[in-house]
Amino acid sequence: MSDFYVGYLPPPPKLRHFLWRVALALIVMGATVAVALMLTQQPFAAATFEYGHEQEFVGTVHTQPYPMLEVTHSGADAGARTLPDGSRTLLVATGKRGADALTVGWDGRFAKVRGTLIHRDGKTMIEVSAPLVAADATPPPSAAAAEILVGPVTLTGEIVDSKCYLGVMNPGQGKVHRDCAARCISGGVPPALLTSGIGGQNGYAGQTEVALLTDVNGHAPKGSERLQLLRYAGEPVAVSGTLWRTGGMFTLRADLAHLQPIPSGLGGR
Amino acid sequence: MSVQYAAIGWSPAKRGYDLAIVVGVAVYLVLFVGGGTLLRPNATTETLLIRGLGTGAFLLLHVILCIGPLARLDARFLPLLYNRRHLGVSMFLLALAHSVFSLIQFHALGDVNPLVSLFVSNERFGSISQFPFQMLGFFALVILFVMAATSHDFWLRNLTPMVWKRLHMLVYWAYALLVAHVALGALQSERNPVLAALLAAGAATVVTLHLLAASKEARLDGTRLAASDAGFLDAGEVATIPEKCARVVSLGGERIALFRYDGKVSAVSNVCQHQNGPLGEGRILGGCITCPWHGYQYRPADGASPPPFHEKVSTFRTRIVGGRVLVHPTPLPPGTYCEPAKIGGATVPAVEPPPKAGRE
Amino acid sequence: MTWYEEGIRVVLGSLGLYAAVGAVFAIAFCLQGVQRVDSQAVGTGWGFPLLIAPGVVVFWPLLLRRWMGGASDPPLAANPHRGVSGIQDREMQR
Repeated sequence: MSDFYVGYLPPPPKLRHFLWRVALALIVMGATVAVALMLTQQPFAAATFEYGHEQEFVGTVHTQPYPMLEVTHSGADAGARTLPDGSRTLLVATGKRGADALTVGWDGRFAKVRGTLIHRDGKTMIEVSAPLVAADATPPPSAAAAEILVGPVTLTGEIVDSKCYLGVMNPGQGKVHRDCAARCISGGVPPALLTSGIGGQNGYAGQTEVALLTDVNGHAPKGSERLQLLRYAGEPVAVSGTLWRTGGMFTLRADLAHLQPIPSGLGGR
Repeated sequence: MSVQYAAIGWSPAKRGYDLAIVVGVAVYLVLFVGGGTLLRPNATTETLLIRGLGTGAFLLLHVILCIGPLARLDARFLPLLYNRRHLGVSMFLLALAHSVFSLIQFHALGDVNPLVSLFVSNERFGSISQFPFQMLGFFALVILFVMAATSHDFWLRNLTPMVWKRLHMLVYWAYALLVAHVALGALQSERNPVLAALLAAGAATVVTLHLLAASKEARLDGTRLAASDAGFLDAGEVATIPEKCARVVSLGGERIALFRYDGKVSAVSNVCQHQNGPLGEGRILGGCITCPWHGYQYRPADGASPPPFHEKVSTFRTRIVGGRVLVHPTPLPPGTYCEPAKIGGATVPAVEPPPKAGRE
Repeated sequence: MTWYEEGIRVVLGSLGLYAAVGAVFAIAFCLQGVQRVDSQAVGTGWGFPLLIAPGVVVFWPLLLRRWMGGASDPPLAANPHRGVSGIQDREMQR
């Protein structure tokens, strides 16, 4: 014991210098760890939630299998991203909630929708922030693409909630986000499969895609199917069913009560 | 040592200590969150805050856990132990902020109460890679909260030092929970090896330092004293005890500190009444045995704190025969006066005391 | 709702109730009681009760018992040396 220290007495100079060196070393170590961990995080996707930037969209509301808007007009605000006419965009509510309650009785009607845009890789979604209002004009004839059957498939990937994946959270997928995915799907946000397995299906490009998940009849999953989705949200699964395509949007109709979790991370990332 | 509680007993040393904590935490958060905002423009602020606060708290916990064994291995680290509770409370506040942001981010605004959601959103208890790691973090936070909430001396006194110590030993459970929280959480998503390497290096450091300190303690407790007459035990040569310092001997795992001062030797329990600090690693300052942890003082002859304080420790009878210190293993009631053994004449020169520090 | 979720709700609800009672107790204890059960708490400033309040929310049954029992100071801790030397602390005698 070279120097004796008592807290209520001033420390001896030699000891004081030692302690300041220790403190400096610890701070430098902390700074190094901070920089190392910050730089080596997984890349963040170019996904955007235009928080605080509400717009008005006009179009025809569809409620099956999930609330969507067939857009005829959008982007009233300057600088806003406008949605191409005739495109279908998903509707969700604020928080971890789907837009089912907001769109009850609106199926097929022409409406003004106020909300915030969420977008990633050309896929879009609107977080609806106010009750829908009937649009005055008569709706133009539907310009939306027809639903095309791609074929029977078995796809592997990760079950995600479409809202977080498309940009409300970043990352909106993976283990850490898993509880949130379950909570969002439970709250009615459309579930989707994040997969790189669509490549090769009738010549579609092989990049990571999201496919909305429905039951075999193309309806939102209920009962045991919904519980299975919640149980395996955020982890790699294999799903067998029929793949459909509407415009740029894929839908996988499958028997969700028999999801197969797969051990390794083959899910799109 | 106080006769009245203060919110915080400030001293210049404590202010320096807290300044270092604040600077360290600020540097960490600015580099992680600020740097992340600049260099990772796609990252959201909430994600950077959750990660920065969580990793910062966990790193600070490593520092806290290493101070204990470091101080046992090298006394120069003892001052870091002195005000460790401020480090602990800072760490808890970072962990709390991490938890609140995470709970809001992942569980709020849903169809169930966020706290209920924390427990029911993932029930994959049977899977390692999918294990509900957020619950582990929650249980660790509960332990850290109880520790932070009882860090004031009021709790040490009111829960009694033994209960308080046991409660605060739960930090090792919290640490184990947090290692699992990171390994089963972030490590399952982050695939770069840096996080895994840091986690392993951190755990290895904590475990190694504790093993080294424990083996040092075990060596002391493993030494048996030879019996002398009348029930006394031989505690070694008096000449090898430095002046105003102590030798610690172990009797069946219970330690006694034999202090040499002013040509006399007195023996007291090695356990400080305040926080069970090692009195034998202290010094005699101003005629009183001074605990190295928080400076609590006891008179060597009767083991009592000088008025107005009322802490007391057990004393032991001592003798000096043929230049050897003999100690009787039966403790006397705390605060009992016990005639110090006289070293006698110039026959036994003391070894040079180490350079004295501070004021006496 | 599964039995597991039901159980979680019951446990969290009970803990919430315990903490709520503790919070009410903490106000009374920090204003009045603390000076009754611990002589060192007499005449401290406002910072001290504020710092101990979170712990009171956790340990309120213990402090309530001391307060009701009229203890003026906390019990002395036992340690092996104290035990052998024949000094029993008040806590151990109960």
